[in-house]
Amino acid sequence: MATWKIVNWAKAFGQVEALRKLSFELKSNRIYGLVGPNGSGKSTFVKAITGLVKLDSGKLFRDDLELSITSPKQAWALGISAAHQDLSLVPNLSVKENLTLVAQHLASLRNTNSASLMQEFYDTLDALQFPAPVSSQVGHLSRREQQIVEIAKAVGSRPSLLLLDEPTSFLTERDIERLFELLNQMKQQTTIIFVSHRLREIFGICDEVIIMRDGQALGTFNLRDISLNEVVKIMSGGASIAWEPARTEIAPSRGSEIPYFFVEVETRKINKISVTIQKGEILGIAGLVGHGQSEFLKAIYGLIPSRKRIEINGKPLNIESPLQALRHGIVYISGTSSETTLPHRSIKENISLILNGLKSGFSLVNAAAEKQLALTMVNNLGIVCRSVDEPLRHLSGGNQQKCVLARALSADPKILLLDDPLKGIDTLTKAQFYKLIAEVAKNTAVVFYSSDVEELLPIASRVVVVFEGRIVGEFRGKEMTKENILAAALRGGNE
Amino acid sequence: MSEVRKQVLQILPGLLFLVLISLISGILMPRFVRLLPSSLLLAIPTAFLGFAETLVMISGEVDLSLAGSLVLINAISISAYTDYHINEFLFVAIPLVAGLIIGAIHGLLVAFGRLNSFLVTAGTSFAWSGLALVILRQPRGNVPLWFNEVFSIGRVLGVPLAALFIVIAALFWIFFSVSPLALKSYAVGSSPKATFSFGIDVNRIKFYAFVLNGFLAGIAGLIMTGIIGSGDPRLGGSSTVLAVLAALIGGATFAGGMGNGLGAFLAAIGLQFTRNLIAWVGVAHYHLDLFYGAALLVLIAGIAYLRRSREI
Repeated sequence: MATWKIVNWAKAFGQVEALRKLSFELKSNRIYGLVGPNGSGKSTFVKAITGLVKLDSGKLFRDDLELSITSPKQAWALGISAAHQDLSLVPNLSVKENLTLVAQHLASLRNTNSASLMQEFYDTLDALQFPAPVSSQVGHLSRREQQIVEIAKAVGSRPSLLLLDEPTSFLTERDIERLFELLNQMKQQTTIIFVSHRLREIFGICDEVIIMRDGQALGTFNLRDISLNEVVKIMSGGASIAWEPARTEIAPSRGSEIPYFFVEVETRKINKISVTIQKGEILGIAGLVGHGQSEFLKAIYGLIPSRKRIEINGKPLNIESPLQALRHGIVYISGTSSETTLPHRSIKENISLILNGLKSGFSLVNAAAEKQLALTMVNNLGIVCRSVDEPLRHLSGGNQQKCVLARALSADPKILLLDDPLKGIDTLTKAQFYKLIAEVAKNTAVVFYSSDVEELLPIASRVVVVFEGRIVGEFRGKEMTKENILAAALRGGNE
Repeated sequence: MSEVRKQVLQILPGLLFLVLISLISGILMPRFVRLLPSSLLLAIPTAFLGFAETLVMISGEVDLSLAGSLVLINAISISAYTDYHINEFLFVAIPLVAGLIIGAIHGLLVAFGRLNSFLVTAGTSFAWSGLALVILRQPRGNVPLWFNEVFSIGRVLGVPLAALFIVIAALFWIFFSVSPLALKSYAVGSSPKATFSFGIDVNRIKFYAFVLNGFLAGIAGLIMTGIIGSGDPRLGGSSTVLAVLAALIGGATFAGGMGNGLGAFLAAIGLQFTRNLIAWVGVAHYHLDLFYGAALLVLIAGIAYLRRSREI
């Protein structure tokens, strides 16, 4: 039985430090919960220990023996396996073929035959009551079934260190019970790390919990000595953003008034979300990553198919595509720059993209006006660049994101949809963003989704919390605290 | 059992295409059946190229140099025999070794040099045919007498050559598809990221795919040399395009992770027959490519349409 030691792990992606001096110890025969807010570095840790991501620095010890993991192959050889949050399965191959690939590989590492390993995989699938035939193609399975295969791939390999990254997001209650039963049996031979946002599950299965924030471990706590609320408190106790503008408090509209903006959306992932927003309001949307917040905004903008009702000033609109949305003054910004920027084109072209897109196909681009617009925006938004003819990719992430905002503002929006726009942006630039958004909001309505609650608090008029595709809580005024919002997002309700 | 069923289903599109073209040809061309052994033999080199193309497309890459490789292999073989008087039985090994080396060069550049296979093979396609021209300078040279005889008779030990080559292709495909390499190739082409996470060396698998691709190009080169009985730096022509098209009919996609070598092999024969058919129905020689091109476009649109309807 081995003990594992993680010492000073560091990893940066460009400007963003995902892990900084992460250190903790794992004893044998235990199940550890690993918790932390979005972006605290949990998934990066899982990817690093399985060799998918190379560390900048840090050491790993097993029973005081130093090990190095630079590829998935080495991780498998050391008996480390993981079920990843973003699944690592080959979609074109069948369940059986996926598991065969792992079994063949493990068999050569361990000098056993792959048939007995396949049997282990099948036994694990049976224990989890995998409902589909193993000959089915992984890409055709439901997300829940894929998740079970991903878990079986890790669990069935009989690792000495097992990591499960958000394994339960798509599982049913019964699936989770079966998984927990299996983990309790495995505990005798394996050290297990269970990464989850669902604190109740952590308290249900784990012996100890490691709390992470900003790429560091804040401590390892025995779950007998700590309450759920204390865990939430430690998780959320981070430094808050320095700039605090006055929140725009808007009284809830009285029933008779026609709302400025009303929307009701239903998609495969969204149960039915409807919100009403007044002019001048900034509606914050919170919730754990992947519960339908992004889809909600994309659906309004016509990026993904949905059933929806949209009204501006009581006038119903039919929006099937982004072009129609833009014509009605609904503008969407994503924080994933690859979705919204043309990195190799110039700053000015990126800024005037919407305006040029709305022109008829036969009109010419007015180069002078394009340049003038870009210069004005660069000035107003404080975009740091040498010239507006520079390619966008030369700018820092924060400045690129400002160009995206500039593009949205140039279209004179009535409704501004912000889809996690501040992802990976430094605090100073964030503060500048708040000022701009607060300014814009005076004449529009803003819907602002952020994966980090702290980004919403300084600016949102109120915050709704989305859980599994529906709204489970709404907070305003004094109620609008990080703890209340996180609690609702984690528990799926206000109870 | 399900494996066999899967194989049959995968081969079906290529097979059906060949059967369909053969039926039409059989009805329209009175001499089709009598000429079948020789027209089959003429189509075999392209068929092996379609097979070769499929192997790299499965692993998510592409080979645009097959026509160039074919010419170079032909040139090297002829030069080895005519200029350097290599042993006439070793002669058979020359194209195969040349193909392996060409494949290994592509594999090294793509897998370990991390270069885009589209660009690498577009470049080498010119380099190979240029090299062939340097070696041969003009159509010339000859092959060992026994080799020439085998191809002019079209039979070995009473077995038609075309049938023999089809059996060789089928065996090669069967051996490949039961080997662990096949599964890994499909995995690499379908999701390199996931395959990497399984602990599999993605680059090595791509390298092997190119080496096998080169070996099959070597077989195509050997047969082509047998058919023309000499060296010709101008052959090759549109065979790269036909190989890619055959691979597509055989189920491959540019996205990788799909494809069936035997299906592509049969489809390539069908593509050659289509050309014969168009020539037969009386299209003037200088109109042939125009009509052939139009037929191929219709075919491509047909494949795209079928695939889209299957996805929905």
